[in-house]
Amino acid sequence: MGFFGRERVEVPPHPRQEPRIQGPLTAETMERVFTGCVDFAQRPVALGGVPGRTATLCYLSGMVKMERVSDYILRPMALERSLGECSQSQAVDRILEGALYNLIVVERTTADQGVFDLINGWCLLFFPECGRVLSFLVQTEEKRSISASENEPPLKGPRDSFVESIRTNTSLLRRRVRSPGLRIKELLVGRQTVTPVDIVWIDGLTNPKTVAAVEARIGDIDIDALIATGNLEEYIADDIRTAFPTLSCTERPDRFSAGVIEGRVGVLVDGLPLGWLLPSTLSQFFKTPQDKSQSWMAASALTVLRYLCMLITLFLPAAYIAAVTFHLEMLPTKLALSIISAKQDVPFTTVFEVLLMLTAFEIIQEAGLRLPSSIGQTVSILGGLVVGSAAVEARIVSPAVLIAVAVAGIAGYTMPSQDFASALRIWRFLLAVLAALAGMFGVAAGGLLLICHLASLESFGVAYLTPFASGDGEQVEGHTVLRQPLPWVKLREAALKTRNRRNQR
Amino acid sequence: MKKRALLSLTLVLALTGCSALPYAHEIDQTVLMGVLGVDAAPGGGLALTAASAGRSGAGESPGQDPVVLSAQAETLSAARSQMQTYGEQYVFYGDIEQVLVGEGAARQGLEDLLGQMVRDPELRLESNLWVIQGGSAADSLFDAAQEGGAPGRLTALEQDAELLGAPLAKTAREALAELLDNGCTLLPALERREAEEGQGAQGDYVLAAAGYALFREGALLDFTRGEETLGTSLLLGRGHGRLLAFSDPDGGSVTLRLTGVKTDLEPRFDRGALEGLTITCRLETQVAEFQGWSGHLPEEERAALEETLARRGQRALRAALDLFQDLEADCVRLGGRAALAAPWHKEELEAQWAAAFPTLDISLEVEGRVARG
Repeated sequence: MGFFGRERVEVPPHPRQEPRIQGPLTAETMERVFTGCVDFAQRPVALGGVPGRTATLCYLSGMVKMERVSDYILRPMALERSLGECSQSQAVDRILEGALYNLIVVERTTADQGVFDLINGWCLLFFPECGRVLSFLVQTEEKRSISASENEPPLKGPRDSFVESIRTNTSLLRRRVRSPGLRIKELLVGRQTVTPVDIVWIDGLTNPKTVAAVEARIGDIDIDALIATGNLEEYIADDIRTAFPTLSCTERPDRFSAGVIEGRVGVLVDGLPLGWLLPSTLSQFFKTPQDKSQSWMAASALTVLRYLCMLITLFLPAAYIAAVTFHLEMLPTKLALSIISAKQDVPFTTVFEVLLMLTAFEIIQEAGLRLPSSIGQTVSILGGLVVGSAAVEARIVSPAVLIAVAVAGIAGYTMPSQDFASALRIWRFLLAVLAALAGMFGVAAGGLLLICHLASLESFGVAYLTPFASGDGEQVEGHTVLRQPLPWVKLREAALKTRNRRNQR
Repeated sequence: MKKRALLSLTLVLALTGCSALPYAHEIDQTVLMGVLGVDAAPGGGLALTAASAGRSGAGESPGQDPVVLSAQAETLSAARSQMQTYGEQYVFYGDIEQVLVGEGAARQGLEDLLGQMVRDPELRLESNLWVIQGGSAADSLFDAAQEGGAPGRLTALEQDAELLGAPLAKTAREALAELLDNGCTLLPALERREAEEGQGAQGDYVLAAAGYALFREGALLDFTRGEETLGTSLLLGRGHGRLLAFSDPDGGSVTLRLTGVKTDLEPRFDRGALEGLTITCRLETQVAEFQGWSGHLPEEERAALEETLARRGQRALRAALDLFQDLEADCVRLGGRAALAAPWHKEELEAQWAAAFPTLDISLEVEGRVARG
């Protein structure tokens, strides 16, 4: 029995069909598979211009670059008379040996291979007399050009960022990590999207168990489509019953490369301009790419500031509620008098005021994000003015509440990871409610709950609170809260269990 | 399983006392009391007076005049409960920074008050204690309410004491610690006197510093007066900023400002028996003002002034020590400090001090310095 008394209907399992396409690899099979597809095209080609000695070329228009098909396949096939004078099997062999100019050519034998080649921008050349099929990579290279990251703006560093093309992204990685030990393994995920997912690591450095775990989890994904980040993250994360991200992702190839070199496993997905680094710990979400590009003192100060901002964004509204409603003794007398003066004539309780303002803050933020940037900014400004200034003037909320909520909100924006900031926003509400119920006891209980929750999380076998709560007695070097000068950081993170901990002479 | 764990957790929390959660009070429905006055009620029991600071307006919100509430009951907590019933607003005592004790209540003893301050979650042991000499705390608080509020006036007195070398405020925690440790303590005293010219309208009363109130076993014994107050400050190594006026028969006068006081103690023993105590006091001063000399203070006059200063210091110290010995109250912890100065005689001092102190031979060596320039 389900909700509202309805009978729960058992949905039968949906086993994957292997192979997906039944039948031999022929032009007719392709025609049958792509029946009703306006972009499917085929045309006969006379080998060496000899009538009667024809092969059939199939492709999906829009997926292939026409000039390549014409110049590198059709033209040499028509001009090379020897192809028409030998048997088709010999012609296939000659093409494989380089009679055509196309860089990549492979022979295909199954209908599945042929279909997915067409979908991926290859063209198929069927030789009906011998039954052999050649596949040429002629895909179009229409893609977004490499530009600076918008979400992780570079201040002092490279200005490229990942794009939607996975091969471009692997090339960005290769240009930085020139080690021949760099391994890139590709898996296909999604029954309908058949999305290439690349697992990246450095052989001889990265913990092979982590690589195997990542590969196994991605291999286990059996979903319809891998289009959004959640389609990957929620299937490979250790625990999805948390608001906190356990996989860190980045748009920047330099940060991704640094992570791979540290000994993490990278994951790239075709169609998503992001790279994931696994395993991820809490401290990862407080680092920015430019931390290593500026003075270690400045980077350390800024990281401390980020941790401080995390505490402010989490606890300030809750602490305000607790102090003003339950523990007036926490406030200096002058501040208490100032808050009393400001709250005169405000009809709502402090708890309601804070929750109202927190909600309004989220609404404005959400509205600003969903609208085009120009309108979004206007909405944010107008919303800020209306909800802020006007609400105070109209005695809907007191200025102190507005300040507390605004400071908490702005402090949240200092988080380098938006996923982490979102988790903090959720917990901010929870802590505010607990403060409303039990004052500082509630805040303390909430803080304890949060620490217990974080301590229970893991990312690919590494405790989320590493190295704060689980250092395994290993020497901690590098950048956790304070960034040490780079010449002093001679060891990789112990928790990653890399094969080689030393990272410099 | 989860339900059981949740139930167990709830039970455990209830057993640990977390079930008694604090009560919520809206801050705008709260009156923050800044000063507490404690007096002996005429018919027995206590009279409690609490005063809030005036609150200035914010934006279109009007401010609030100082509020003074008063109640009489057998106990402090009963009086506080009574005050809570006076209006719909919650009376909050957590912001009390100054506690005035009327002379009558002080003579009855501070145990009840200090005990309440220790136990009560709102009252702070960091509050300053003052004793009203010859008057009641209630009168002082009602007077101050008309002048803009007692908290402001007392805070000004506290700050002035640091600048002008008047008796420094003492927190309830310090007083309690001294009473428990030494059995004696002293608190700054205030007197309610008619306003002088420039201090307010005719007929108004103001609070002014008035020496020290001396306590033994928690009860008020006496107050220091005149030179006794200066001597007490010097024994405590305080008094910086205090002005000392001197005049000569020729009509000249000079005012010195104390810039440093260093008081050392040395116990004297004869075959293990405490024989006496030597107190060495060095007074550093600067000339604040002088008349009758032109330009600068001549060197011979300065030397004479130093001698006069030393005699004045000796007189003040002797007056204070005589008072303490007469009262048999070591309010400035001479015994403890002597033990610190001669730790190898600590046991003998602790054993003999109480009996020996009232008649102890205390010799004084005072040196006065007047800075050149």
